[in-house]
This record gives sequence, C-alpha cells and structure tokens, in this order.
Amino acid sequence: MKKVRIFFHCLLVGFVLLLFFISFNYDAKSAFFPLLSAGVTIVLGVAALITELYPPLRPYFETRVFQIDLPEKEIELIPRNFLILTLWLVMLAVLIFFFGFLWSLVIWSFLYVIFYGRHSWQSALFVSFLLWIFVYGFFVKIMGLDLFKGVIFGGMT
Amino acid sequence: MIESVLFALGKAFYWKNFLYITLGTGVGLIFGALPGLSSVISLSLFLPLTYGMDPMSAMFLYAGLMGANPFGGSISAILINTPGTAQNIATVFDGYPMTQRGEAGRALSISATSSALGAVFGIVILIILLPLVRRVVLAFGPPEFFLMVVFGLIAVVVAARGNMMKGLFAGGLGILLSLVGRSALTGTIRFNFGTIYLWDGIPLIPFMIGLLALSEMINLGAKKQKTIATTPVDNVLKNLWQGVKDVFDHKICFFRSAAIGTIIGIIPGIGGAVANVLAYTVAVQTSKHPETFGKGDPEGVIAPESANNAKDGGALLPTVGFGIPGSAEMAVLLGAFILHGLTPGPLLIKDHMEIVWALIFGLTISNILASSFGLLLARYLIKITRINLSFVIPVVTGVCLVGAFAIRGELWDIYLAILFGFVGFGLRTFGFPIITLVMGYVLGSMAEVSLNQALMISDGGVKVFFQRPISLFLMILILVILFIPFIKKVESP
Repeated sequence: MKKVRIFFHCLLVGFVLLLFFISFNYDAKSAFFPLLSAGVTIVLGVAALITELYPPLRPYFETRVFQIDLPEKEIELIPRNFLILTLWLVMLAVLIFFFGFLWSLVIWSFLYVIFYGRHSWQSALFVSFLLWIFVYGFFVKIMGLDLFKGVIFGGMT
Repeated sequence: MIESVLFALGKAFYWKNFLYITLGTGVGLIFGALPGLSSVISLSLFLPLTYGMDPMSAMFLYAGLMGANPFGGSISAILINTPGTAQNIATVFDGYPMTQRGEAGRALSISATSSALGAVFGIVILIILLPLVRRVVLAFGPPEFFLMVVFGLIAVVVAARGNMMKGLFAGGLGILLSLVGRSALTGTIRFNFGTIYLWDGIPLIPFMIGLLALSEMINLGAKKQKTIATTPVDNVLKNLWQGVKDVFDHKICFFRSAAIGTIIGIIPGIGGAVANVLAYTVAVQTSKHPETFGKGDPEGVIAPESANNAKDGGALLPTVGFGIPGSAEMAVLLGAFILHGLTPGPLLIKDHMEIVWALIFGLTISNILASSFGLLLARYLIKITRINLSFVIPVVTGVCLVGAFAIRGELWDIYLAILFGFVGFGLRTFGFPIITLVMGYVLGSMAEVSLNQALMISDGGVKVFFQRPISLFLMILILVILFIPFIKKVESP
C-alpha cells in the first residue's frame, strides 16, 4: 500500500509540475498567479512527500487542535474489490456512451446488484426499476431534461 | 438588516419554500440514519437538482438537508449501535445501552430535544456574532480578500487532523484547478490541454459530485461494507416525555456541550465528529458520577447530540462571513453559492444578507422538524438502516452521473465526474483532506483577482498588505496559526 501511496503522491506533484511549466507559455499577467500558486504547491507537495518517505519527520507536521482520539471503525480496503469496482464504473461509462442513460442505468444497476452485491434477481430488478423511476420521473418529467440517448439510439445528441 | 430578516422569514414560511425545507429534512434524516451516507453526499447530489431554483429556495433546501442529518445519525446510533454519521460516534456510548435497557424512546427523545435546542443555541450565537462579522467584512478590500483565502486554507489545514503539508498541498492543487479555462483577468485560456471542453474551466457540478459523492461510493464499494446490525427494536415510542425532562434536568451539561459545539463549528475545518466526542469527553470529566457513563447515562446522549447540532450555527459564521467552510458540508455549500451566482465570502454578507438569513431560518425550522418527524417516524427510519449498501451504491452512483450531466447536457461531464471520483477516492485513502481541495477550487479565482487588484493598488509592490490594519492583522494571524503547531512540536517532541 505504501508504494501505491507514494505513486499517487508523485502523480499529483507531477501534475502540478506540468501546470507550472505550461504557465511559462502565457503572457506575464496570465502567468503570474499560476506560477506563484504552482510554485508554492510544488514546494508543499515535495515537503509532504519527504514526510511520507521519512516517517520520523511526520509527527512534526501532524496537526490536531484537540487532543482527543476519535474511535474510528476502519474497514480495510481490499485492492481486488477496488479493481473490480473500477471495471464496473468503466463498464457503466461505456454503456452510457452506447445506450444512453436510461437503458444503461437499468442494465448496470441490475447486473451490479446480482454480481457484485450477490443478491437475488428480484432484488436487482426492484433496485433498477426504482432507479429508472427516479431518473425518468425527476430528471425527464419534472426537470424536463433531454437525457443522452447513446450513440446507438440517438447518435451523438 | 431588518428588511432582509423579514424578507427571509416571510420566504421561509411561503408554502413552496416550507415544502423544500421539509423535503430537505426528510432526505437529511434518511441520509443521516443510513450508515455510510452523509450530509456531504446528500448536498452534493442535490447541487444539480437545485440548479433551476431561485437561490433562496435552494438555500432552504440545503438548510433542510444539513439540519436534519445529525439527528438522523443519532437514530441508528441509539437503536442499532452504529452511528449514522461520523458526527454521532459518541452518541453510541450511552444511547445504545439505554436501548438495551428498554429505554430507546427516552434516549431518542433526549437526542431529539437536545438536537433541536442545541441547534437553536448555535443559531442564536450566530445571530449575536453576525453584526460584528458584518462590520469587519465591510472594511475588507482586495488585499484582505486575498489574505482571507490564504488564512482560510491554512486555518482549515491546521485545524483538521492529519499531515499539514498534505492539506496545504491539496489546497494549492484546488487553486490550480480553479485556474483551468478562461482567465478572469486577461481572457487567456489556460491549462485546457488543447481541448475546447475546458475553455470554461473545470465544471463545478461534475467536480463536486465526483470528488465528494462518487468517491464515497467507490470507497463504500471497495470496502464492501456489509449490512448494518439488526438488533430488534421494540417500543420505540415509550418514555418520550421523560427524555424531554432529562434535557431540562441537565441544563448545565446541555449549555456547556452546546457552547463546545458552537465554538468547534466556528473553528474552520474541524467538523461535527470532534464536537460530538469532545462534548462527551468533557461531560464525563466534569460529571460527579463518571462511572455511569457508557452504561446508559442520559448526559451521555445530551452532551454529544447538543454539541453536534450547535456546531452548524457556528460553522455558518466563517462560511458566510469569510468564505471559509466550518465543515465539509459548508464546503459544498460554498459550491452551491457559486452555482447560484453568489460570491462566497465577504461579498455574500455585504450584498446578500437575505441568503444568510434564509440559511439561518432554514436550519432552525429543519432542526425542529427533524426532531419531531424523527421521533414519530423512528420505528420506520430504523428499517431504512437495514438496507444493504449494495442496493444504495448503484442508485446513488446513477443519480450522481445523471446529476453531473444535467446542468450542461455535456457527455464529457460524466466522465469528468468519474475521474474526480477516483481522484477523490485516492485523496481520501492516502490522507489528503478533500475539504481544502474543494476550498481552493471554489476560492481560487477570487484569490487571483484580489491579489491582482491589491498589487495594482500599490503599483505592483506589496506594501499595500502592510499599510492596512486588517491586512496586517491577517498576515500576523496567518504566521501565528501556521507556525505555532510546529513550534509546539519542536518544544515537546
């Protein structure tokens, strides 16, 4: 987990570095504030990274106004679950692109409840029906929103 | 001042707005009672839904959502030994033993009474302090606006628990994200990576929905939290009157805890969990019979519940006065201000006092409604807490994505929301406070414009920051809050 944490941290610092260098392309007035904020942010990001890499430094930067311990009920993160969930979200994004919102949400929530939640198909049907009712009733009927229909049913509109 | 009070009061009781407060209260109760969901998620979900509404009605709805949440969380804390929200952690310690003793009704009634009265206490303090804050804010100019943003970010980071450097880094990242798109000063398109999509900047709704709501759904899904406890609860509505009496019999405990909650609310970034636990800890330490705590002592419910509800009134003060969110919910509220064309921070209190009063009245009404509804409907609300999160996640995710799409009808907005969902999940998992990122994003453009104006006033120099008393005071304050925790650590490692 530490490696992933460091990688994520480096990714964020790298992104800020990128913005810093891009800022040099703008005129002075447009570049001043981005350069200033990116510069300070890079320094802070590197400092935070150093505290990650050298744990003895960490207590110096830990803040806690009130010296109380919150009883935290931490449930351990399961990397495998995270990867599977990522795939589920990618699947939803792809479904929306092809089939639009209404169909995708129904199909996706139905499959999610059955395969990821491990519940009966009746429960899955109920959940997807509920979601459809809400999305259609509220967003389409009440708000009058023209939901994206997907490239298959509506083209890119 | 009086006109805006009367205007907002009249609006609050207009049937449509009252309905919004009631709707917000109902949803807030459900989101509070359901462990895993929080008011931050409900507020983020409602951002796109309020887009077409007039700002005042939207504020009533937000106030309803915020006000009902802590009491909703206490219902599951008391009845099923699981705090509905982080703000109800300490309520479990004595609330649940009371349920086991067959006094669930009494415990709920204590919670309802202290929640409603605690909220009113916090709001009264807010009303007392508001004119003072307004006077200060009216003297603000560009240097003060800029320093206020810097002060807010540092204050939130120092007050929150965790690595200070990470908090400040997240704040800086938020400011940089706010600079994407057309510059408010020069019109230059910045950081758009060659795409037209980012010409207008990173859109607020997908950003907020992804970072706050979707990231929490990823978090819940990845951790695969199972169903909540299923302790049978009978006779929920017994001994209600005794519970009300208990609060009045422990007036000192109530006032002390509500005061703690209000002060913690005023300190930016700390939030209700600390208020709840700190008030409980103080109640135990000052009690003549500390041994009864943890075994179903009524004071063990009065203290945390009055504190976490009083916190909202306190948290509104830095939010509406200076644009510094007192809690995560208030950070979303800053986003809501922008969505409705209101500038968060001092300009809000200068130009839109009626909005501030709408929030105050909305919160008061919502807390009273939540306590009454909550007591009457506790036996039904408790059934909601048994809903498996596998059912909730697809529904909330679906609504999040449609919400992200709803405002601009732009397909890329849903992909951006998903992207920020993962970014938010990473930040959450690896200890970067999301609240400072959101704050930086919301206040970043204001900081740029104010800094530029301040520099123009003093012909490009920085002397303007030293010549104005409020600005000088803010700079000293920034240095003090930034370095005092560090010096303390060096002195006593």
